[in-house]
Formats: sequence, structure tokens, C-alpha cells
Amino acid sequence: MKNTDSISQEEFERFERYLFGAMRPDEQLVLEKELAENKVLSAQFKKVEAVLNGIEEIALRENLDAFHQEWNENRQTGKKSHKIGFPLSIAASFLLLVGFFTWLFLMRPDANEQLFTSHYQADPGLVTAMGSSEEYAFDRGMVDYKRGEFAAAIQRWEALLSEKPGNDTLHYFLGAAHLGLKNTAPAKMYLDRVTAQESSAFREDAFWYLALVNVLDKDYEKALLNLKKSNHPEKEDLIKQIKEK
Amino acid sequence: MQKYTFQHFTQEELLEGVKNNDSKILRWIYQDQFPKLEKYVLANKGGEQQAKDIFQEAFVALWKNAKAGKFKPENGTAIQGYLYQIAKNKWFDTLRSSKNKKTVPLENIPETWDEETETRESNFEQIEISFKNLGGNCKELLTRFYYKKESMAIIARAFDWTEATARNNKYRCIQRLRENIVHQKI
Repeated sequence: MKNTDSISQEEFERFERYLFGAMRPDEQLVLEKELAENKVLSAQFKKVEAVLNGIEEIALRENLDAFHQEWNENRQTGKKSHKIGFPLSIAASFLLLVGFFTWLFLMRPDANEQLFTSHYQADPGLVTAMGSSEEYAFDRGMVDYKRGEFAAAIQRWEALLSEKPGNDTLHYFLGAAHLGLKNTAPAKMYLDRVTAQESSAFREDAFWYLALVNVLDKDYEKALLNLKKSNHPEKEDLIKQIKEK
Repeated sequence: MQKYTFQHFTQEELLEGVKNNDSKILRWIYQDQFPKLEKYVLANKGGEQQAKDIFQEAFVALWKNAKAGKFKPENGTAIQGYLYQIAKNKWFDTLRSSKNKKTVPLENIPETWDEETETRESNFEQIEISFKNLGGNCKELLTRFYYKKESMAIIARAFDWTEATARNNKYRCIQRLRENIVHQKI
């Protein structure tokens, strides 16, 4: 008996065209006749059909999980913002006051951190193409990034690195997200990769953020070198402040 | 002409979106309709996870029926109503079957035992396991082509391949997937 699990590329693509409705009517009639007469061919066809439908359903189910997670996160955010009632808000104000004085007397940031904070503004991120089904995982990370949930964005984006190892957009935003968490070593690593790509649209911005990484690391020499290559509107101001140190 | 339903979409647009796996439409329907079903399940002895599972099963059923041309919207909220109805029925079945498990003896298993459905589900599970065991490139390639409906030209560009290579790799990935299924059966 012929093995129905083995199928040539040509036969597979013929089934595929039929299932996609991309076959000429005469070719379609021939295949339908063959399927009606040949049990082995018919069994092969059914298996291919089940596999292709299965792939689509698997991807759909993954998407549904992602929609659910997104919906759930939005709900949690909504709940949190509504939960703070009157007595809690008083307690929160008190804690804020305590926090402020603690910061003022005990934890006041170093000069380099102050310099960083006065110039750092996170990259606003990219517009997530809600209409496009492609690059969903990247877009989902961008939603996290824009909410300031940098750790979640990093987790999603780093999972994409193995498939897109040379993608400058991915590296740039991974660098930006790590910088948002003040993780200077990984931020530097990813941003360095962007500046190494001369054709990258993110290159000049990457120099600016690299300079800010250097400021955090108190490496002012490198900060000045990176600032020279940046075209950020605040670059002259930051150069001046670094030189005054 | 159908009326607009979810802000900007007509029923035809929603149906086409479902058939074409349009993420924007699928997401919109999901996130608009799930809260209503969750409320129903929670009010009827269910939990959040059960609501999620039931709703997703109903969503897949809607998607399959839409693709098979078994569903035709007849009013301005037909898709929402259809989805909600399937989900409600599924939840009702779940409640009934869990009740039966406690009270009906083994010999009274319903006569309408659907062997075909069980075979289909078991086949899907095998395909799912095999798919998850594929490498990242294969999974992305197959998803892009069969789910996202991307052309070979776009896929080839994304992977930095020629179109011929993309086409051959697609066949190889399918073969690998089918071989994994065969091995599971042994």
C-alpha cells in the first residue's frame, strides 16, 4: 500500500493552490476528479488540508491569548486608578511627604544623576500599527514601552532577538527601554549596535542616548564624544554643563 | 446595506476581517465582546478562567463558520449576537456536563457521542504539539504565510532569502511538521 504521509513539493503546492482558491477552473476539475477516484490521493489531500487549517487555528489561538492578556492588563490598570479612594489618598499624600523629605535629606541623587534627569526624556516610541497583523509581538512590546513598563517591553523584545539579530529598530528600543530602567550596561550594548550601523535611521538618536548612558556612568569623556555625533537640540546645553564640571 | 456596529465597522467589514485574520478586527471583536460573556459566566457559577476558555472556543467556532461560509450576518449586530450565543450555549453545555458527571451513571453516556469531532480535536492537538516543536524560523514562516497571508515576496525579504528559497523552506517546514505528527502516532 502506498504511504500517504509522503508527498512531493509539486503535489503539495497543487493541493495548496486548490485550497487557497488559486487554481484555474479546468485544473480544479481535474483534481476533483482525481480525488474522487484515487483514495490514496484523497487521503493525502485531507491530511494536507488538516495541517494547513491547523496552522491557521494555532496562530489564531495565540492571537486570542494575546488579545486577552492585553485586555486584562488594561482592566488591571483601570482598576488600580479607580481603587484609590478618599482615605487612601490622604495616606498616599502623607507617604509622599515623608518620601520627599527622605529623598531630600538622605537619598538626594548624585550630580550625574541630576544631570541625566534634567536632560533625559524617553524616546516616545513608534506608532503601533493596530491594523497590521505583522510584527504583533514587537507592537505589543511597544505598547508596554509607551506605558513606561520597560521591563515587560524588554522581555517581549528580547524574545525576538534570535529571529531578528540584526534589526536596528529592535536594538534601539531595547537600548531605550534599558535606559528607562537605568540599566546602563545593556543599554550601552544595544545602543552601540545601533551606532555601528551607519544607515540606521536611529543612529543619531542612539548617540544622544549613549551620551546619557555615559553621564549616568560618570564617563564624561565618552559622553562628549557621543554628543558630538548627535544632532539632539539639547546637545550644546549638555556639553556646556559637562564641561563646567 | 448593513449599519455600522463597532464604531467604524460594518458587519461585512467585520466578517471579512474575521475571514482574513485581520488582527485589528479580531482584537476589536474580542475585547468588545469578552466582558459581556465574562459577566454572564461569573453570574452563572463560573470563574474568570472558565469565561476565557469558553469565549475563546466560541471565537474559534465563529471564525471557522465564517471561513466556511456558514455564517451570514442578517442585522447590524449579528456577529456579536452570534458569538455571544455560541459562548452562552457552550457554557450551558459545560454546566450540564459537569452536573451529569456527578449524577449520571457510566452506562448512560449520551448517544450523540460525536466521534468525528473527537478525531478532529485529537488531530488538531497532534498538529499543535508538532508545530510547537518546530524551530523559530519555521514557525514564523508558516504563520506569516498561512495565517497572516503574507506573500512569498514579503516573507523572502523579511528573512533575507530569495522567493524560491522561501518557497522551498515552506515545503520543508511542512514536511517536518508532518513527520513530527507521524512520529507522535507511533
